[in-house]
Amino acid sequence: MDTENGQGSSGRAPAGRAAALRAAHRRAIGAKAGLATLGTLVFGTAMVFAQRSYAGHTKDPATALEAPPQFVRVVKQDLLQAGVVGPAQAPPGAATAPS
Amino acid sequence: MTQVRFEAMGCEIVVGGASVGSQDEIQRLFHSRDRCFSRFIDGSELNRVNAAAGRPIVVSPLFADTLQVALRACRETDGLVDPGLGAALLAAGYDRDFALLGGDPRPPRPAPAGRRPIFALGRVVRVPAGVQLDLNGVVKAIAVDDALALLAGEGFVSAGGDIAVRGELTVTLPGAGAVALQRGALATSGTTKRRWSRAGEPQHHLMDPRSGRPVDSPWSLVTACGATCVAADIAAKAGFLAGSDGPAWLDARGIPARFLDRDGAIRTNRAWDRNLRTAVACT
Repeated sequence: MDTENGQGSSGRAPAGRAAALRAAHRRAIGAKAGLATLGTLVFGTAMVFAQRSYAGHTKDPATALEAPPQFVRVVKQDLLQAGVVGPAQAPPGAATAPS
Repeated sequence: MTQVRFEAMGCEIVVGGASVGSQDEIQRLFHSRDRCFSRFIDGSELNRVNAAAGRPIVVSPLFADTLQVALRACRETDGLVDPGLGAALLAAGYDRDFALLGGDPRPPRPAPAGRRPIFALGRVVRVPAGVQLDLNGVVKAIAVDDALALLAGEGFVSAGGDIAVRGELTVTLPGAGAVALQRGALATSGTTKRRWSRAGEPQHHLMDPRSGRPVDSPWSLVTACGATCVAADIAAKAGFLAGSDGPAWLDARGIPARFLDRDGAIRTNRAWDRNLRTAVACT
């Protein structure tokens, strides 16, 4: 009986150990996955932070250095824009008169 | 600088700095615009549009674009430079080519009443019944700007004294003196040339849009400097039609202008003086 019990005990023990190992294995995998996820998140956050704060990185999409389109449209529509005159430096080449 | 001269639109055209090829192209441009927009050429598109007054008509892209410029000029000058004053010109007696106009014992006809809006949407135009378009000033100025664009390098185009330049050009001014036109165009409007009489009463072509009669202005000539010939021409006309408010009206828009009054005295606005002072300070 003892032998049987011993055998019975020893038969249950490896089964329990295996279950414990599987559980430990699952926990280890979960922990690894958690660490990988956390690492990725930390790395991503650090990258974004670096991009936003380090002066050498482009922070926003590049835009042309020009006046706002509405302003440009209004100015282009304005017929009455001035030319430039200055003191005469040379002999006249033409004359302005009523036509 | 080589110069070529020819007659078109009832005035002398002078082109400086054009190659032989562009000279021909510029002559064709002025003659084709004249055929399209003259009030005195039978079958011109302008006359076709005026004959259709009261009903919509489809016009050419060139006519539609030119009318849009004229209507914008009317808006930007608070209605002073109005393209719908052809009937007023006819009433004052300007009913044939200016070279054929002489003293006429008949009095001017009554001025057409009121201002009515001209409809223009794309190429569809409707001129109200009783209204006649006269686009002459704008057409000539646009032709000068378009001709200047045909020059390969520096040069100028002058149509009856409306001058646009690329580069710098010294220009003689009415009355006395000269000025360096450094950028843009110079145009002069006034009553010393296109004038005639009806029943002994002097008439001219610059119509007061409020009365439909030749305007009574303290100026005999107004010269304005615009970024383009269209701008200069519209500014000179508006300065003349605005009367004693002309200098301030153009100053408010930053347009340099010079006024010759009926006694021959010269007056300039602040923008003109500022231009000349700045140039002196920079040299």
